Amino acid sequence: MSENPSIIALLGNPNSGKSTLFNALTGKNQRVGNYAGVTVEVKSGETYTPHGKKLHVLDLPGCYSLRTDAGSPDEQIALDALTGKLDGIAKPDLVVCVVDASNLERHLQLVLQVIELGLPCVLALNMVDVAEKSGLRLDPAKLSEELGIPVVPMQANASKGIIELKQALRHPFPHASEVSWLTQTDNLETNRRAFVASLCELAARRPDSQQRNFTDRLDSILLHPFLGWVAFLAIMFILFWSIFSFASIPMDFIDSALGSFGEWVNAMMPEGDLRSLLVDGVIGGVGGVLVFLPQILLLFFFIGLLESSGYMSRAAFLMDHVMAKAGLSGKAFLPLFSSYACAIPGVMATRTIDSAKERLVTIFVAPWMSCSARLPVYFLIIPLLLHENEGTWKQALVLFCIYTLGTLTAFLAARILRGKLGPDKIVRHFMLELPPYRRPQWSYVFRHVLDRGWAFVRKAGTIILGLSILLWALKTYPKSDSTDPGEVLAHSAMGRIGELIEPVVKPLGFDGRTGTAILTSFAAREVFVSSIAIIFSVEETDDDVKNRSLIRAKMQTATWPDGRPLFTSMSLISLLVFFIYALQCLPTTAVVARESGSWKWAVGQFAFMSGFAYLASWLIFQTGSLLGF
Amino acid sequence: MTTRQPSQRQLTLNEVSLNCDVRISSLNGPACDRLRDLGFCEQMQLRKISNGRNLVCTVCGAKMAISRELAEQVLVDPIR
Amino acid sequence: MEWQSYIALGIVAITLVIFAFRLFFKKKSKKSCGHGCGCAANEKQ
Repeated sequence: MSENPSIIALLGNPNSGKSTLFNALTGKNQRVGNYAGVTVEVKSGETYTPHGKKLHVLDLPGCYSLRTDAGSPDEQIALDALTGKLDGIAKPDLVVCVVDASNLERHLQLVLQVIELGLPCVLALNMVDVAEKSGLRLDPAKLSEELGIPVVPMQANASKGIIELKQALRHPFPHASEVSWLTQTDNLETNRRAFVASLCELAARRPDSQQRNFTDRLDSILLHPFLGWVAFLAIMFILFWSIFSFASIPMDFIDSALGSFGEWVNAMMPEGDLRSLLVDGVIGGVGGVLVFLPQILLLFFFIGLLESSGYMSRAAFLMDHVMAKAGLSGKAFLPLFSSYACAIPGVMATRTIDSAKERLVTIFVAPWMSCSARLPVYFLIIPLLLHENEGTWKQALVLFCIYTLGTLTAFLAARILRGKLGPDKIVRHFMLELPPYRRPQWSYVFRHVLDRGWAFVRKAGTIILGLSILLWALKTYPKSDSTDPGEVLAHSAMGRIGELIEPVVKPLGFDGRTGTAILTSFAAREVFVSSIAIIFSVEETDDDVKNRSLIRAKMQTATWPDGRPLFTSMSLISLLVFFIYALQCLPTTAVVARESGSWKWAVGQFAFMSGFAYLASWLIFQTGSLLGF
Repeated sequence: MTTRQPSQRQLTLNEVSLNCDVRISSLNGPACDRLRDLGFCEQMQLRKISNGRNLVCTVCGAKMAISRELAEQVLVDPIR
Repeated sequence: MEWQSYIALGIVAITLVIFAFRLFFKKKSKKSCGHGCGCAANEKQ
């Protein structure tokens, strides 16, 4: 009974609901977003037919057609997957064409092309609810009869029709249908389109008038040349403000919980190295990062909402004009926006960009969209800069400015780089689908937020934990006999490293300790917070371990050997600028090497960005100091 | 190939006024295939709802944004 | 306390070994992210 499981592939236009169907079938939680370009890789999972047979399911990137001269890399991937040309993925035994029932005139092209390829096919007529609401009269039976393949009406986001689809997938699979529209020997495409037109007449009659629906009403504002921009900026600002204000309560809670835990350990154990390791190293280091979990969760929640609702395409449309100034097109907006969460999926999303040169440029500047790993650093420093406690609109404004600075520099760099690369051989034009607004899929959004949250916690519990332990060791050994904390630090390995680094970072406004912390952040940006917590921790007596803003309090009282405050406004700004521009993520460099096709680009990017960060930081600090700040 | 009265002038999509229903009569240019893939086929009814650097049209139930260069390649006849 | 120092040093040593192992010996399977950025792209293919 152990034959190889059959392979089915999900194919369809972008936004047809393939990934939602994939999640429903396989129980996975692949990324789902209401815009083109969310799925750029072939994802696989497993499901079972009602009879218990195992099926491999492949989720292919969305495409509008299966030409051999395909427009963008993700369309080529879909075609290769169907013809068995993709490495490591066998040719599918059956294709489930996922089709938006409210838009059959366009979506059916793909179905016919699949049948032309000789593959058995099942039509998943998705989003029937939307079709019915817009007044379309569907006739699935007629459709099935004319095409010669099973047609399953469904609503994947409500999990309706899944059972019926699985029934259609039972063994033996239906045979490949005949190409009944190849009547004359002339243009296949013309015949195909004529057949689709006649099919729609028969089986998907559209009402005569086009009514204004909710999407149209909302778009009259959101696509408006002026109001649309106002709305866009307002949405972005509210996003930032919410992250600051709503998160403060859970953050305080986590903070005091950690503080109490540290106190308890302190009380339970006699003084010694292990206690110091646990309290300063582990709790201090890891806790310092964990405290930012609520803000990370909120950020991903809002991104999920925006993606799921369909607003992202509108944003890309609005941004096309601005992107053009940077030498890019509106299609680059979505990969760049994804990079605000994490540059890695952003870089991968550039597969939807047709122009190879534009793609390279987008990949190159993507890390300058401040990713979520920088947030702990920003959230640590911004309140220090403003001398206030969290939760005010001023802090949101500063954060907004930080993002804007990174974005603007990225656009400038993109423009320069694009100019250097020269024009494309084939001119590509802007074309983008604006899907109807949909209610966010809450279950998906929440699962996604939890996934990202858990990934953050896991990173804290592994890499950051390990680095905190090592940092503690560097700070504690070799030991000195002195009781003065300053001398103890100077005697330790970390102190010596700090001494070495100091000449290099002093022009930027940092001392050796900060320099060491920056060095550690090249392993993972969040570690900066842990490092500062560990490096600047003073031997506590009884009451010290309590407050959360403790790290900041320590930073505020830190001084240079001559007594000047260490973290002045200029040095803090210089620090922020450094983190905006430095590329401190090895996985990103690896993905860039893969997606751009060469290590030269990845290494060049790393070298350029590190150098740029250093120079920018230096410039800011020196200029500010000269001006007397 | 539809036969055409000599007096009817062919408009490009760019020239059509907003919120006017038109029918595509032909496509003329290097990006025809791509346009057809997106739903801009001959005989398809559409309505332009936004002008500017990029146009937004409703065509066979979907909203599509295309650039002016692309819209230049779409020839239409007004309905009514 | 002596025993605390020994245990602490032991933990540090183990951490070092784990890091060294990951850096030098683990096959760099950079299919997708590989790390905990949480995007679903690193599901098993």
